[in-house]
Amino acid sequence: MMEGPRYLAGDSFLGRRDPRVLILVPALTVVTVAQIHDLRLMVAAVVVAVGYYASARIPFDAVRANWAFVGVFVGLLAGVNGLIVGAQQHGDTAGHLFSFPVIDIAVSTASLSYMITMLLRFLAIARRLRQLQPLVVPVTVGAFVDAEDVADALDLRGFGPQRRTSVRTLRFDGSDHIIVGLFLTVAVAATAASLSGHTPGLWVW
Amino acid sequence: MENTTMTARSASLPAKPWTVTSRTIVFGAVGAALYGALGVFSVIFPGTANVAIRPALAIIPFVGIRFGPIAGFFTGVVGNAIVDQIQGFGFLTYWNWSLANGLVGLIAGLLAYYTPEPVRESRRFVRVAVIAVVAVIIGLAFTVTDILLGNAFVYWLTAAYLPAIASTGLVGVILVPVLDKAWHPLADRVGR
Repeated sequence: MMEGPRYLAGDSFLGRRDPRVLILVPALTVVTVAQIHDLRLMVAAVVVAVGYYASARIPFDAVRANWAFVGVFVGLLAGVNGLIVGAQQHGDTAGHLFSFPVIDIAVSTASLSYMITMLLRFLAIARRLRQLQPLVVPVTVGAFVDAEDVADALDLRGFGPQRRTSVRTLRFDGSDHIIVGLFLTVAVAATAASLSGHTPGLWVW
Repeated sequence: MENTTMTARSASLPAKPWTVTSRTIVFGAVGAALYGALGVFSVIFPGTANVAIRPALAIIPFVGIRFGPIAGFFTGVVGNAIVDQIQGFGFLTYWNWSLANGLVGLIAGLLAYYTPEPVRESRRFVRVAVIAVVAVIIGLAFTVTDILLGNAFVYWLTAAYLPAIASTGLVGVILVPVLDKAWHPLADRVGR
């Protein structure tokens, strides 16, 4: 039995929007936030994102597991990795910690973070490398056996690359145009600032 | 025996190599997700241009061979980008390597489509291994575009391409036939 994230069509401002808005806005948000390095702008983006999410009025109990997954995934993978790898990317500003006395090799925060990154990666990988073949083969083959069922289910329901008919005609109303227009404007502005070198640099405090 | 073989092959592969069906989409998506998840288990070769040995790379030529070039291409492109993102390099930072991985799946699929599948298991084993290695050598050659991104040709050749085809080719020779061998009786058993 497969379980995927459910679509919660609530009677809210966001729930009444055209479905294309729900696809376009997150895509434009990704384009925008990927080009932001200034913490103040990040806070502004978070406020907008939280406001946008809150307008959907999704009960927290219905998405508790989803938020737990996102929290763990972002916190452990993206957060820790971003902290360590981010320190390498800004290695020019890394402070000198000490030098080995005899061989006179300087150790900076950047080299230390690089060492920790490699250590963490090799520790995790080396322990599991020998177990990979019995993992890769059954998981892969099992997944494709299940995928056959998914493909059959799609065929039975008429999904596919062929042209489909629809009983619901989608229409962009005024609110949809305003929302997409706002997010599109910000995304274009962020891209233009990034391309022209006017994006504010890294700012923490 | 031959009928069984042909049944499994013809049911898995689309009628034409460029045909996109719901199976192509599902197998491409599943392959990309699998490669993205299992590809995290990789070891970067010290002294190379972040070239890593990824046992999960065998999934790309396997998908190409069994489910067609389009599914193989999608698996390679999207799967590699997912792995890069999870490992902290960024989704599109090494876009040309993602495309090269996609080409590995595409070429494996085309080679499998245009070469007859032997009946004997040992020959089938060799055919799949050879297809995987050839696809890796040709597909990863696309990473020569590293030169356009500022790398020297010698650096690309010695620090990127040769280590990459050595590690990926090794994975292809060892794991792709194993995957194919494991898949074959299952495809027969469920009549696909």
